[in-house]
Amino acid sequence: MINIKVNNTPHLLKPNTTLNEIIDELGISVKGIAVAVNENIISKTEWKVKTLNENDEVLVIKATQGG
Amino acid sequence: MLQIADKNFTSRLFTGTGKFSSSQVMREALLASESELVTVALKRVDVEDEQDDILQHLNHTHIHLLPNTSGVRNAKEAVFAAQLSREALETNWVKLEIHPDPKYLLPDPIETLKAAEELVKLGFVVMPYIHADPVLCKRLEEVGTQCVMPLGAPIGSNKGLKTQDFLEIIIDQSNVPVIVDAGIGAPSHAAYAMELGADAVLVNTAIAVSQNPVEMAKAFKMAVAAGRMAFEAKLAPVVHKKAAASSPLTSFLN
Repeated sequence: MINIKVNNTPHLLKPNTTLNEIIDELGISVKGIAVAVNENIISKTEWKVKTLNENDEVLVIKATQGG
Repeated sequence: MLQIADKNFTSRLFTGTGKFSSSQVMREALLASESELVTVALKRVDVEDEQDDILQHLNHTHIHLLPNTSGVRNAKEAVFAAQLSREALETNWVKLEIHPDPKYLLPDPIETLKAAEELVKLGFVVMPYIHADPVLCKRLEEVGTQCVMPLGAPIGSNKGLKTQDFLEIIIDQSNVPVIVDAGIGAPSHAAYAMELGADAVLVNTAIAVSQNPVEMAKAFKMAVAAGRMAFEAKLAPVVHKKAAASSPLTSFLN
């Protein structure tokens, strides 16, 4: 198993888990989100091939209220 | 009609989505405002608490989303936030705001100029939130921002056009649209900004925190339209140190 963080929360994953799989597993709605791994933005089309490595930091953002 | 980058705007009232008491009130107020450019912020998705999706309330064909970079502290973070928002919201428009000091939320001019230059190169339509600084406005215009967004007063203060003298210089000199952002607290402030020749205003707190945001949104809509109409009609000149009769001074009483 490998250790990663998603929005600063630790998660344990099987090796070779893709970004798509972790987003799905966490039940994150994919509409209107953006994802970065170690501060590199990963476009939606790459989520299914991008595999996560030990200590990766995943950032998932979406829109919220603001002026 | 107001044009920014490739978009034409019928309404010169831009709005924000912050501070509304509920999504329902926000949606009704934004629709009542007839605003066509609406700001949103970015946040980390809370995996444990996935609830309301703001986008479903803004899903109207006349509403264009304007993501902001609020929460960033410097140019590097702002560029990263803009790239995230482009990915998430599929728009290359960004309201660039860098205000590291949480007390007064005043924009950092140096980091803003740096980020603006970089974002323009990356193909963004950059709308920078700045102090009412005429020199900075020209520098931003030179690096290719599509408008400038000087403040009237600190964010959320509702104090009106405290920077009026400098807004007038900015409006006089600018070759890009000038949008007065921040500090507008009443429809009369918005109308006044438009009478001075601002191209648009951005209003959030004054609508959202009002006792009746829907009615206040309508009031702002009318004030902005009236102010613009007055600007286009050209105000009568101010007369100093004497009066000027508006009735003929005929000596009908002999």
